[in-house]
Amino acid sequence: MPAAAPRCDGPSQDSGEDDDGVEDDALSFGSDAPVSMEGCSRAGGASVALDTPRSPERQDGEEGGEEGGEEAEARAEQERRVEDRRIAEMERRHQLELQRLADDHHRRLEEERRRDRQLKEQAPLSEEKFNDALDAILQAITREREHAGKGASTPWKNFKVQREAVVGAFTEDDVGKSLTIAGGVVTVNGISRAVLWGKQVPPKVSGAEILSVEGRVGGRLEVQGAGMLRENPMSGLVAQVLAYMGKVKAQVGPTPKPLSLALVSPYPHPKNDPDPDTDPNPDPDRDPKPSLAPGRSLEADRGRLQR
Amino acid sequence: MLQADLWKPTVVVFNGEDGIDDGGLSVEMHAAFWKGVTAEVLGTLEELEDEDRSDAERSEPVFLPRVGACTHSLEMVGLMLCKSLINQHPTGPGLCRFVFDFLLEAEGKPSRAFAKESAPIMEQAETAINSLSHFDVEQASYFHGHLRDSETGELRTSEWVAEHYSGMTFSELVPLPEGHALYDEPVTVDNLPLAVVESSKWLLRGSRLPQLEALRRGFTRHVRSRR
Repeated sequence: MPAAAPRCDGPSQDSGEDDDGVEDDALSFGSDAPVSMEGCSRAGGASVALDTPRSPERQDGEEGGEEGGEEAEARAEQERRVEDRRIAEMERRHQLELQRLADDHHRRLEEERRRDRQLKEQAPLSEEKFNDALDAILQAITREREHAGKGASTPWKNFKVQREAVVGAFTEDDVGKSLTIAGGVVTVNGISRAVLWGKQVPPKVSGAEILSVEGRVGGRLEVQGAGMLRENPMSGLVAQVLAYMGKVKAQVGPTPKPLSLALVSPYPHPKNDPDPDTDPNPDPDRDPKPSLAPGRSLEADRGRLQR
Repeated sequence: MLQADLWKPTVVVFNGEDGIDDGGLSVEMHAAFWKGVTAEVLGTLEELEDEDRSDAERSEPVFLPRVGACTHSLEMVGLMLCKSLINQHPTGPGLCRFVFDFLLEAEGKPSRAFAKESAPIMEQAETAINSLSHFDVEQASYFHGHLRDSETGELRTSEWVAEHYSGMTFSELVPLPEGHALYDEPVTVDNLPLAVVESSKWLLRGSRLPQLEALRRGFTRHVRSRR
């Protein structure tokens, strides 16, 4: 143990003692205390790290405790190496920790940027834009009304309909009457009747007698010579209106020329919008800016539509 | 009759009534038509059947053309829709917003209900979910839950998908037509947004495309859609 080593009394070497007079035990093997110059000198004055001139007393001490000095020196060297390794390990860990923190921070920033970008990219259609679409339809219709052709302003008279939206096409009053069905067109005693067949396939019937009727939609129906016709089909306001619409379609002809009504997109699709300067078929009569008819407002139109 | 008839104001007579139409009866007829045409028995339009919906929610139904409905009737309905708009009359209790998006969709042009295919896939998914939400709120919410945490809005991670959908194929997770490229594909975090887009398109459009096209044929018979 170092306690056996001769003590150096030289004033310049005696810095290993604290102010309180208690000796340090820094050289005790395995101690965590850092290896100090003081400790080395106290261990026998071996010139391990110090390159200081030696006093005669010290040289005596070296001779006396040469064996213990070498042991202490080796121990100190070993401790220093252990300590160096420990410090290097701590520094390495510290560097890794710093790197990890930097990486985390970078990752968080990247994630935040990605989310921001994503939020900006996501622009779902809003209710406002939908209303704009309806406005666009109404504006286009208003704009084109004057180009609708002769007779567009005269009333469509005798638009006769039932008040009930959906009822059975045949009633008990029809029993005994003559039924003809040709191409889906129904006549009862020579008077045409709007009928919606649903999933039934309308049979071809010519002047057959209606034997019995259950008035509700889907009710039992018996027609002489038309066994396929078993269920009462639908009629009523909806069927009559659709029949009127069918007449418009049929009487316009097979290849009608559509009115040049443009449903202007309210959404910005620059690539899809024709350039008025380069459009090969510009409409010279079209107003550059759509206008509403006098006394109309888009809000009122929207209210009507949503009623 | 001329094409101009479509633009004529109607003079409506209800059978067995003496009323003279100064505009009120026409409004009544249009309103009655749009209410009647949504009747279940007609099988032309459909609203979502959802028993969980409250009465308040049911009071504002939205309709799409019914899958498999008669296309001739729907063509006439489209023409009537045009007539109602031309004459500035009511269009009923609520055609789904997607119907109008589809009607305004010009042939060969991108749909306004769905983002362009060149857009980021998450943008496509979110736009599709938004369009679907106007018809089927519950399904849209379900889709949203596939992609994001409903509380935090955080995107789902591959770990979350693996934990919840492990071993599942898309046929078990989202409505898709049989034979779709994703139908038998395993669910992953990468193909989930695409599946949401495809499923939304199928629900709104693909499954009822002939009916939607018939409606548009009628609507654009005399009105050319140009974007």
